[in-house]
Amino acid sequence: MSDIILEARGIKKWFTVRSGLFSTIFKRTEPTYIRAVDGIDLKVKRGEIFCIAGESGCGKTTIARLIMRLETLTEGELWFDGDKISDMSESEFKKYRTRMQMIFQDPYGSLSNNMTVEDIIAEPLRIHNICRDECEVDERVRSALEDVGLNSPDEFVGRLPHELSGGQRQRVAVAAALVLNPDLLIADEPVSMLDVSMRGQILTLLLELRAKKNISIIIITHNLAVAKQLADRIAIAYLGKIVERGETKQIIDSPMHKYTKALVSVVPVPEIGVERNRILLTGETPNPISIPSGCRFHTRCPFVGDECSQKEPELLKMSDGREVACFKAQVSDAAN
Amino acid sequence: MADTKREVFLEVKNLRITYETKQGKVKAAENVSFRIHRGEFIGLSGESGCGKTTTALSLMHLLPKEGKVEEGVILFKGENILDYDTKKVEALRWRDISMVFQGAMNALNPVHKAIDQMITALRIHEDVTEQEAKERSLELIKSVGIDPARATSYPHELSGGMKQRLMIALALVCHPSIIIADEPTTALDVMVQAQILDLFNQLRDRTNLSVLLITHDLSVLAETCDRIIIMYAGRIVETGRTDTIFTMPEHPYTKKLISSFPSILVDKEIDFIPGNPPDLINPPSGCRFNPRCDFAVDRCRQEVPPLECENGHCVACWRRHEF
Ligand SMILES: Nc1ncnc2c1ncn2[C@@H]1O[C@H](COP(=O)(O)OP(=O)(O)O)[C@@H](O)[C@H]1O
Ligand code: SF4
Ligand SMILES: [Mg+2]
Repeated sequence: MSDIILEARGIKKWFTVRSGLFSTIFKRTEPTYIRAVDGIDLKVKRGEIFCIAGESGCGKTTIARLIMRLETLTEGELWFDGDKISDMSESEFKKYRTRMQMIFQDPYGSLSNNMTVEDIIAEPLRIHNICRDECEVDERVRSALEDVGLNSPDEFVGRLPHELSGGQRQRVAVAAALVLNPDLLIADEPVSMLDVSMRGQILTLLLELRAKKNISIIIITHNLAVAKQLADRIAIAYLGKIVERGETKQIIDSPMHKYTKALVSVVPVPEIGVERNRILLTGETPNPISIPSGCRFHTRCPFVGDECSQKEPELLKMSDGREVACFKAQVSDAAN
Repeated sequence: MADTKREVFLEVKNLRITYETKQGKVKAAENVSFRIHRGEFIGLSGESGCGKTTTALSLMHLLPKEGKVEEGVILFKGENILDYDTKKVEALRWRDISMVFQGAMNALNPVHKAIDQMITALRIHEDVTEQEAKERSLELIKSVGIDPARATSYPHELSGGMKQRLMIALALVCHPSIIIADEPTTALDVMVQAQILDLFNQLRDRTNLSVLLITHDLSVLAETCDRIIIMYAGRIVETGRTDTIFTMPEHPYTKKLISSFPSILVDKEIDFIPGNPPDLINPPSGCRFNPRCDFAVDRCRQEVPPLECENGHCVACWRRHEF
């Protein structure tokens, strides 16, 4: 048993643009690529809650889909619990499929509306032929419901998704993901559609599950405040690459990459009268079709230097253990 | 900034709104009263379903047909706009009171260029030439931070942030004195959200515009608003100056709401309000928060607590002074 449950080595996902629109705009005849994920290494430990954070278009959802094999890799390798899964055939991969599960952003869209709670949770058991008989299915459905805090299963098994509150629906989605006892749970924006009180309930649930089952969780979110409450480690992504990674508290309390600094500085906070040095970036994240040269953040970086547009900074380890891909941060770290 | 001596130019009194549904009457807003002064930024917050959008739509006479104002007065410059006929409402809408709708950025007409939509909107409401309308539209497009060269873009060529800026420009086209912005940044990334909030702050510095900013994300209001209104299950439970609401909330719901908000500045344990907001067809009697309130006593289950004000800090809780 490996201490690392999931490892990604240099993974890339380039989508080919099929429509002529972009090619016309960029006056190109050779194929055009959207470099959604552009060379990322990851190691997620057993029992760890690891966060991938960043703004839309940074590639975070695509990373999750690559891990789940919902997209094929353009380049790179994926390892699960010590085994290389990236070039396995579908039949070889089958036994790993039950060991990683995903929950999605939208508790409304992700559950089909004509299935009862029982059907929804039992479906993965039936598809993978896990149980000896229907009694065992029933038993596992009920215990999964209890695991997610829906403590009177009888009350819920017969209900349809629209008869549940938003928070309950997300709990059912978590129960369906957990019923197979996965080692890894990937949660893509699991609370971004929920109100704050509901959000707290789901986050608490995820923490309890980790404590009880030692499950690893990859949480994908744009919400740094949620990341801070939940994740042990965090990776900040920008245009398909990781720009900073380390312990969540370290990264959010004292970010080093200029992009992380800017991002943290504008997160709204429910505190009043706190002097904050806001770094308001202008413009928006460039299109991943035409990623800037050098440091891909240099076109928006308020601290940009000469070398930044020429060379691409590597993700290097700093003296405090975090990793940062920024020339200026690397220089100032070396000086200390 | 929240100078109460300033001109009150919008006042809502005892508003009660219901929606007719197959399951019964939804009591979406009840006893809603508040004032907006000229140049003031007011935040309206509370969890989904608490009645924020309903309240906003009623100010614009834009409730859907199943919605009905059962009671109440909306005074704008001293007149009750609820009594207005269609013609007077149309004269008021967009020119005096304007709105950026929730999810509106996807509502831009995809087949028309951004600038043409503004010119049309302007010419419907004001007697101006095409040329004048074009100049004013370009001026506005610049003022919301869009490069005028992008004005001839089609909506699909613009990012979410740019579309939202454009919606704000559209809402401003007839120089309204108040703009209602319903969840204007909810679907946007944090950096774009910060840019849009910054835009509102610039507008406030440049003009005498009042803004009613509606969001379920209370932290968005902290840096933007002078005063805040908190709603729960169709009723206002607390209003006050922004600093008061954040530092000395008195209603148990507001307290819980604020303590549940994660913050990147502090190490906070995860907190939440157990249970769910009530069904508004059969809301709890008495204080609507009572089934989820740690402090509820018999009186809370029987009598509705009135919104009582002390030094501009209004709270609807029977036990306000007990803790
Ligand atoms: N199936 C696809 N075809 C083409 N482009 C895609 C596809 N999926 C994602 N993309 C593009 O890849 C980039 C990253 O997308 P995504 O992984 O969804 O990022 P995020 O989750 O951070 O929003 C975006 O520009 C997106 O439009
Ligand atoms: S009135 Fe009673 S139930 Fe309502 S908030 Fe106050 S103490 Fe709680
Ligand atoms: Mg995404």
